Amino acid sequence: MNKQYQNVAVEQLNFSYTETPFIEDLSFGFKAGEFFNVVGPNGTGKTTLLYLLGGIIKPRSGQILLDEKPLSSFRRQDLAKIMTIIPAESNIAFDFTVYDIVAMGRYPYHSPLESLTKNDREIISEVIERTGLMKYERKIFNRLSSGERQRVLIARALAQKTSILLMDEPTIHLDIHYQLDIYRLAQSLAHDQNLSVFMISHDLNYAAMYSDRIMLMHEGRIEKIGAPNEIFQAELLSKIYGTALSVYPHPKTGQPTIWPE
Amino acid sequence: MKNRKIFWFILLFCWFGIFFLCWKSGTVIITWEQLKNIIFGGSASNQTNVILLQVRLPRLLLAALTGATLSLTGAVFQALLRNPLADPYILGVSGGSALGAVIAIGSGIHLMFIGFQIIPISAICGALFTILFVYNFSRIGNYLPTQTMLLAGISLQAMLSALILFLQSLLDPLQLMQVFTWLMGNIPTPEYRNLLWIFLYVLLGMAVILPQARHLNALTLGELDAQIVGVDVERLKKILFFACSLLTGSIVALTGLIGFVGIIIPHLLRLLVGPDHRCLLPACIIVGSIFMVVADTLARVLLSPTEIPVGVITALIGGPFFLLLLWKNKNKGKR
Repeated sequence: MNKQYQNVAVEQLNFSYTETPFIEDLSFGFKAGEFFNVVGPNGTGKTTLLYLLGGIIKPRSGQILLDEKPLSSFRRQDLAKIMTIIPAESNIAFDFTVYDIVAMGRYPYHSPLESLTKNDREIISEVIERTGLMKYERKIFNRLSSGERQRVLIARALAQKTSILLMDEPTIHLDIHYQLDIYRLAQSLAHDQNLSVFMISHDLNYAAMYSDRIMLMHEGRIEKIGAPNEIFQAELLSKIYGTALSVYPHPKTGQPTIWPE
Repeated sequence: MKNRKIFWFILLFCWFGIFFLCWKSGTVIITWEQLKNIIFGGSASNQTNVILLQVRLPRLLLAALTGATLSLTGAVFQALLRNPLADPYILGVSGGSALGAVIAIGSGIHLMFIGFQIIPISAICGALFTILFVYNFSRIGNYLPTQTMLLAGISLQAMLSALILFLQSLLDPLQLMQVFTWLMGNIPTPEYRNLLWIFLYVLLGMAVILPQARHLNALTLGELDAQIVGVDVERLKKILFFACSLLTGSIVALTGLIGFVGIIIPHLLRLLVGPDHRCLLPACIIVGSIFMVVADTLARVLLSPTEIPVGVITALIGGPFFLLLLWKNKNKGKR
């Protein structure tokens, strides 16, 4: 695994699709060993921010640094060994198997004409086991349910063995069992394997339970960054989401939980 | 792994078998003995010599190059646009190169000046302009709606055909005849010199495309996913657009518009060897070339001594075959 380039710093980031600014003056950072969540209403620019962080789109101004080195100075292939994205969903036009797709996570480590090494195969088997996909290995990706596909995309990302992981609402198609699995997996990747994990989360309660820090975004700006109990205040969340919300402590753990009023 | 090797071996074996059979077939009856003599330098009459080496062989080789090129570019376009329906013909790329070629044929001055080579170059430029237009017209930021792209390609193809028809009305009767037979989709008997040029263009195009096979695999999941696993998508697309234009243009300049090969061969081979482009692309080259050799031989011998345009044969085989594929997929509830 890449031990270099683990910490991400964002400085005065601006971006717009049209004339009106869409992401305005964002400055924040997250570091190795941290499970960092982003929450906020729909259309606030969370996914756009994730694409900016992943180098998929270019900022209008400001910069993103990986351990002081500008993101824009990395070659695409090198970047794929440092950071990966788990997209919200993927469709594929042709009949690739689950194994083929997970194996694509090893692409950045080879020149185009090399084939998989023994080490690659070990890594692929390991991540397939970790995401519970052993039964699906030889199945066609297209014919899986959206929840199963999501796990394949997670397995592919893990096969890349990056130090930074960007997740775009990874639990959106999953049942409660796998939702919890994903949050636990993300947390353990950060805490036990020292990865920097950035996740866009729509489930405020899970975000409160598992993440280390939360960034609340609203209309392209940062509203507040802090520990879950600093962010989850009824008045603040009600204002941002535009609906009356209450915060109560979890009956067992005491972490904040959100309820409709 | 072992099965793979046997598969390639059988494929190549069939290739040579069919190639020689097609070389032998034609209006003038040639025996295996005579063919053997020609190949191994034995004695043969002057007439058979001319028929086999000056008439049939260059044409067969051109047919093989054409089939290989059209199926390869078909497979690449399908991956590039993430749509199994894409091929150079449907996207208007063939039409673009045809227009380029017609312009070159029409402006006969160039023809006399630089000789034959201006036609393929003009066709290559036509192909490149078309693909860039269709691509940039359809894209919205990073997103490429395939429906818009196919519709844009189809309307562009219609406009290009109209332009070609318009240009035809400006040509003198001799040029008109030349353009007309060519547009129907025909494998001519090329001079070896021209064949060599086309071969070099095609070889260059293939040398560029084949190493990108693995990147094409990643690209079938979409541009975002390809970037995630480290593919420089913008660069890859530029390379492939250029290479495909080079291939399509140089072939269309000689053969005119031959449809369906670019769709059916990659489709058929995906069923046989799977979607991995590292196997699919070489298989397209081998099977595509032999398919075209057979189609062209049928065009020569079916109504011998009259010839049918090979485009008619490929459409008559390809059309029903394609419908059958759609029918089977429909009944499987897939796609």
